[in-house]
Amino acid sequence: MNEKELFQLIKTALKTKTKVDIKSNASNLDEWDSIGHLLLLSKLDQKLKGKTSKISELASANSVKKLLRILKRNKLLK
Amino acid sequence: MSVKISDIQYKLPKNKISIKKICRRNNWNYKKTVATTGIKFIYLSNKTETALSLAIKSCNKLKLNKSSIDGLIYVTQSPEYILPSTSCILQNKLKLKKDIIAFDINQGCSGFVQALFVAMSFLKTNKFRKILLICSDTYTKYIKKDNKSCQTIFSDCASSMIIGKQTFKKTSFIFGTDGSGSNNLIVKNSGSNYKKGLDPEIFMDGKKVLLFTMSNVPNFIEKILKKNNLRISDIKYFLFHQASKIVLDNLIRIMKLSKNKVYCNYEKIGNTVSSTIPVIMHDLIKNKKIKKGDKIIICGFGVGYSIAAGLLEF
Repeated sequence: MNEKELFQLIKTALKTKTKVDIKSNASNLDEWDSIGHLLLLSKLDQKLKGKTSKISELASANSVKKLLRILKRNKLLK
Repeated sequence: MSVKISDIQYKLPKNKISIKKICRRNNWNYKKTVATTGIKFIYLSNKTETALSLAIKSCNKLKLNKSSIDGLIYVTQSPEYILPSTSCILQNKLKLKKDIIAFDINQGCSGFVQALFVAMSFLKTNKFRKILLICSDTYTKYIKKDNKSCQTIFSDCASSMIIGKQTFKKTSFIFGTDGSGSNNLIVKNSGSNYKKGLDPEIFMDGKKVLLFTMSNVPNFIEKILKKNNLRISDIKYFLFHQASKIVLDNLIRIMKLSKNKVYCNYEKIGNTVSSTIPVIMHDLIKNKKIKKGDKIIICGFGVGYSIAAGLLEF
């Protein structure tokens, strides 16, 4: 998965019409609430074939920047 | 079939509330909430109802031969008091014999599976004829009105089951505990951490609990199958703790399970904590969906973190 695909995944998971980019986070996206985050974690794990459920810090990654950092560190993002 | 419907019962409070009503009252998005949790109705105990009173009502539905009960195991995280243990109060209220063992197990969603293992272990000693296993909780009393993640999920309920040596042809259990997640589902301001003037209040980090479940339950199922030289195809039903739709859907996806092997009833009654699995067992037995020789796997997981899985052959 690359950055662009991650942005699209977040958009799909949160079912938002707002553009998702590097600056998006739980504060500036209404749909990124606690339920939205659950949907996001679920979609991410599905896309990355079960490789993200063991990364507990994803639970508190409330911005695209944080998600990118964690996924890159775990070699799950190109 | 070994388990009779007269041996397993449950009791929900009368107060049934729709999630639609709760969402409307709090200005929460109903469609999004239900699409994620899958829960449309929950049951709330009233001010005078407690886990104990629900437990008694559940036991009253059993065909209980009181003289045959040699042990009482009560699973709860809504005890009547810190002391004495509620099981002792239950022994008296149910008018059970006095020469029995009775104790509480303080566990939540994995509690039924753990208690079943304890009951089966007792029975194997041949010192016990029948064990009465009761699960009962009233988590909703710990939930504040603005707590969206808990208020839209948890239901109050009691379940009761009579277990004898012949109840199951075979049982096998595995367990797991990870207290590093203890703060992620917790009743704050309770027990020794009670602070004067503050009510006990439940807190759940649903995201962390979801990740714990997704990363542990599939491995557990694989482990118990391997331990018993079985494959998924050998199992009639997988009865998971009814946490919520998103949890169950993810487990089904990760384990590539067929949906007709996973019985779910969260939509109509919500997450009843330690009672979810006995309630499903009751429904399956009542609807004659379990036959002699069938193998099922039960798995409870959550608060603790704690996880327990059992293979039951009927």
